[in-house]
Amino acid sequence: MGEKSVIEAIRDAMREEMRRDERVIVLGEDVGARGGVFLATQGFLEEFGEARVIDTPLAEASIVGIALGLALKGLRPIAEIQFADFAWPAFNQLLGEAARACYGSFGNVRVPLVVRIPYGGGIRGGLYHSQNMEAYFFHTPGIKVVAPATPYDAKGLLKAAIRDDNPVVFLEHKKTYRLVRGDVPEGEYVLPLGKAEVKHEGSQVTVISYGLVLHYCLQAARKLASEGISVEVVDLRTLRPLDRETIIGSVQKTGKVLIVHEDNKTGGIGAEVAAILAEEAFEFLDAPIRRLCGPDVPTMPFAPPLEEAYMPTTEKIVAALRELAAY
Amino acid sequence: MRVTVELPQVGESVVEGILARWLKEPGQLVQLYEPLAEIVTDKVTMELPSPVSGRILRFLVEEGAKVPVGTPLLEIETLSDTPCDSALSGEEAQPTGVGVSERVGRLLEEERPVGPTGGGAPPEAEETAIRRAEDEGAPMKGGAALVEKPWYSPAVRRLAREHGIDLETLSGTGLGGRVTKEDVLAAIAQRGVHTEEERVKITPIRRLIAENMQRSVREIPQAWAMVEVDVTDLVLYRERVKEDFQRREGVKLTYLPFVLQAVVEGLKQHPRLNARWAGEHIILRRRIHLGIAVATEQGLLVPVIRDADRLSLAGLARAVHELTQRARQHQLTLEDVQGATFTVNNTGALGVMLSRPIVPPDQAGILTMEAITQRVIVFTDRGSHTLPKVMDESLSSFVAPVFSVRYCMNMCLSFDHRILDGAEAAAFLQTVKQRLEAFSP
Repeated sequence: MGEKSVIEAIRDAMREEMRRDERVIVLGEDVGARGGVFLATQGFLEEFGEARVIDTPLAEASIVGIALGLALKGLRPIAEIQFADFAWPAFNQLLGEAARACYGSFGNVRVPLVVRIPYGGGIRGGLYHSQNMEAYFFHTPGIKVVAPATPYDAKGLLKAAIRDDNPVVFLEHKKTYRLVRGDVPEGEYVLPLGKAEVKHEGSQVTVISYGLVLHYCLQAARKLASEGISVEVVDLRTLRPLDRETIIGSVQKTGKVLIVHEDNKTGGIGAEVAAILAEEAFEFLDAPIRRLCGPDVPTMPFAPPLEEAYMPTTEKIVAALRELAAY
Repeated sequence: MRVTVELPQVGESVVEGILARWLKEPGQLVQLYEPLAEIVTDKVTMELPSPVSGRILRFLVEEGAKVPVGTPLLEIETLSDTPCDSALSGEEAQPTGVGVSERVGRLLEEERPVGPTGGGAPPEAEETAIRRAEDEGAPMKGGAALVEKPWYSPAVRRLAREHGIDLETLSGTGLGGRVTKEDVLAAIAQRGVHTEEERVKITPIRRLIAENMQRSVREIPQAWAMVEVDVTDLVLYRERVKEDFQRREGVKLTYLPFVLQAVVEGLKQHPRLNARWAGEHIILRRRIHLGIAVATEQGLLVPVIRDADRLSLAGLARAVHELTQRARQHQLTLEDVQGATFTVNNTGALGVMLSRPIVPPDQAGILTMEAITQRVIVFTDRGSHTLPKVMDESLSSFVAPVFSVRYCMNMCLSFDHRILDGAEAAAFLQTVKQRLEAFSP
């Protein structure tokens, strides 16, 4: 058992899978010679060679389109979009084609494709390096969407995504890469896609989150425990498909729920979770369902005080939970 | 405390910059984020914001100098503890670790901006300290204050309904005096302690019985008649044969099979008692299916002996035994309880002397057999009993009356007065009575 950062866990997952199955390849900008701008694929070119570690041009539509073609031919590509902000040109290939191939072919065509995408802000990234776009993927049938928050989850879920025969969008919050460290077991393990996890048990209020801000939720829960408020923290881990059972089960227990995510509020994942709870846990609600999200502005600001005003912070989460508990 | 401001990493691939122009002077006060200098890199010209509030002590670099990233540029003396300072204090905040598994990990604080790709210096290994901040975000509206009359959340209403709590008797501890889920749970817990009423949940069987009885009472005009039956000979007969019977047939011989046989004969002679009211017609049924009432823990069940007229006494005894067993073990099927054409109820087994049963829906009558007791009976000249009269016809002389102690059993018949009248009801009762009194001792 050792302590790893999220980026190390991700690197280990890919390396292990590439050693295990020679059909697994990686492609993307700077993944080869540079080892990835986040060093996610450091050492891969040397170990696996040019045929399996491919430096692409700055052409996201091609990255995903070529990866799709390779997947259709029987390889298991891991395509990297360097920043979520650059993913827009790849949408047609990813959501318009890859997501539909299996359904459109009556299940005859499989697309064992993983698209890894660093996302999220809080790193002074500004307009083009901070975007959250999970809602677009979340809305699309035909793909799975994963967003781990811890090194343990990142490694186990990435392995599962690589072994899955369906297209998986694997979202990695870039601020967690080096700033979240945790225990990762030595041996082989795979975590199931589509399962959320209660990261902190509680009885009065549920908070549902994912990604970087999950850790702020945990900090808030610990702070409120000392005030006698018992908060249950649910980490979604997989966004699509949502683990309805865990979500509903937790709210049935507590009766009050706060959904926290960095992504814009309107039409974000919190909206769907809230709708599911209103539909299926109505009789158990003791307070209105609340969401604490990024504001509905086109991008995360660059200026530090504005960026902080944008992000959900531990303080904001604590205040919202306190209010909810008192309702 | 003294803070040294260095040239920060202002872009991914930027390694050095030119300090083009100072915007402040040593000795001046500077606010947090106020521009200190203009920096020119190979990409852009930008302003360097102050990371602290304080007073500028001295510059370390001249205007126009080209310096690598990380070079100390100036020193500032801070005036008071700022939030940045507490983060730089070097204290590692200990997590309480309650309920958080180790593999969740911890979030490290960063001292300086790391840039989008994290190309800056590695962060200090510190837990992010929680800063004091005003409560932000829209305050929660609502609670009980929003609406005029008391408002109850779905969870509160559900709990109140499930446990029979009257919400109006509760005071609320929630926002604006709202009755919360916890308030209802507390009321439920407290209620077990002292109470004048107890609420019992209605089981499915109870509900069915209630519905049937209500329907019957609502639809059927019920009349009632009874006879007293001298069962002495029957009692003696049964005493004589019951042990052999049990040995031979494997089941006990109770009085019920005898009564069922008598009832079958009564129904054959008076078919209106085996009928049902069908609005436009009275339907006389040729087959005789006798419902026998069985008291079980869950409630009254009435399994049916089909074609009772085709069964011998032993057959009836066996059927009674088997259905009663299954009823008590909750093993009756839907078929077992449907289709009765007439019902018999052994209320006597409960020690009852007289009862007024309710005719089941779709039947014409229901007959009870009450407790067999020893009674003093006056004998008159009747049938095979050649005993003196009590009084002679002229009412002018008395003859000594003859009393005897006999085993007697009342039988009560409730019947559907739409289908038949008292005369036929009485005739039916007479048939049954005579059949039961016809045993040789």
